[in-house]
Amino acid sequence: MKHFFIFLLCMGFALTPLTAYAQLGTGVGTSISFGGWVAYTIPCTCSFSLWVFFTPLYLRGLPAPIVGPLVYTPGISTLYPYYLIGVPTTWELGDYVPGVQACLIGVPPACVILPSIGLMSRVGTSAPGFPP
Amino acid sequence: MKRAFFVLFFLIPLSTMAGGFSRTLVVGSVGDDVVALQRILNSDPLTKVASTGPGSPGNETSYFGELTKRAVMSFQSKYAPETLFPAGVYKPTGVVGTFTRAKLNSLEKLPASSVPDSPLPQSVQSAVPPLVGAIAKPNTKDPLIMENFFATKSKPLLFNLSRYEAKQGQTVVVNGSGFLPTNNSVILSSSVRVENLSSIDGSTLSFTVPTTASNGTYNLHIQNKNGSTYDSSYGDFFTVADNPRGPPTITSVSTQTIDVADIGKPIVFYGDNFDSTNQILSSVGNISGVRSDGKKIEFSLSSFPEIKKLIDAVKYVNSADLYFFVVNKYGVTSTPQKVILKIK
Repeated sequence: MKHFFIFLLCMGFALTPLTAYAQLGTGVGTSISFGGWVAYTIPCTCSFSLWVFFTPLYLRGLPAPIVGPLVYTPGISTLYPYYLIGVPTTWELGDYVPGVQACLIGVPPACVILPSIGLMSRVGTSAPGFPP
Repeated sequence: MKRAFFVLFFLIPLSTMAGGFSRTLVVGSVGDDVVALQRILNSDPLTKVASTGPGSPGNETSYFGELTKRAVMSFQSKYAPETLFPAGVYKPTGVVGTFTRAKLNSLEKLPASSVPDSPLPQSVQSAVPPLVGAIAKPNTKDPLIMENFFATKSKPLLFNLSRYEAKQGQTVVVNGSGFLPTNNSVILSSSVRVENLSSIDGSTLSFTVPTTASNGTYNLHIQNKNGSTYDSSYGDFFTVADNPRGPPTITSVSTQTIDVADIGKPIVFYGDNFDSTNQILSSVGNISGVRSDGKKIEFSLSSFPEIKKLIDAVKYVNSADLYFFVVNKYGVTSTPQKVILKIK
């Protein structure tokens, strides 16, 4: 698990732009803003992504926080500082595309889709250790 | 936030019609229930029928057209665990059938100010989830195009089979991605191949086990012009046999909801084709070596590695949805089994 996280962290770091800053999504098109506190993360062993469970999770357009998962996929989701994607006790902020299922768990050739709210299109993280 | 709540309150009708939604609605349907449907869809920016003109908020019509169908698909995507999974489908259909009606009827009754009692992932079971190796960058301008963003340029990938044991002449469905509209092959061995298979959605492929396939086990793989799913590490996982067993299936659960105080108590899945030992994959981690008599499988939530983190962290809602799959040598349960954990 530890090596899996380190692998994903390196992948995310390698793909980030030279300059980056967190942005609030505008909700234009299919990407919608989100923010949340990471409770725990499940590695998507068949899809090499991360299923990140947030509690709370704030989604643009909803009047109250919920709990739920979004998926981070290296090479598709853009990662911003502090790059601690899926690390419990971090706050994360970004945009997501609702409905795209991007997490397969299990071992090939018996992989199944773990349901999620959507796929992160871009995300920045805090340092760890913050309360929810 | 308060303004959004204020607007949302007025857009969600407290009651729309006596009896709720009671018939299947499709493109071409006409009636007051279509008006009610559009109002509910328009109450959520993720499922809005239209921004302006007919079908837009305040301009709902009694006609179910393509815009309404598209909005229903977004709605089904958002509530997939309740609208699609129970029907055994992953892709939104745009048809307001049994399970979609049930969800619409439940939303009709829901006051806008309530804290969600079952905070479901607003998930859409897209047919083609992204994986490492996908070449095509998703077109994020259209959520439905996102469903196919692996479709035509990526190497094929194999996720699972509808069954891992089959007999000659039996149909098997392969689930994966990167399947082409034509000219896909299923290969069991150098001499046993099923050629010229079509995939209409890029993620499913059906084939019939040929009579030339002798009883035995094979490393089944898919091949097309973009590549092959072959991986020697998979081993021989597909069995041709005279009396094949199907994959594990869960037909019922001892409890649909469980209180957080009872996570040490057993939950029982009843079904078929459980092996003597099984693995359970879930949204709170995985456990292995779960014993079964073939018809029932028993476990407790306290065994799962992430359950305590979930319980400790959840403060803002009354419950959390948990999803489970059973895996063994006969395959994997095709749809997730949901159990609701009541937090407070």
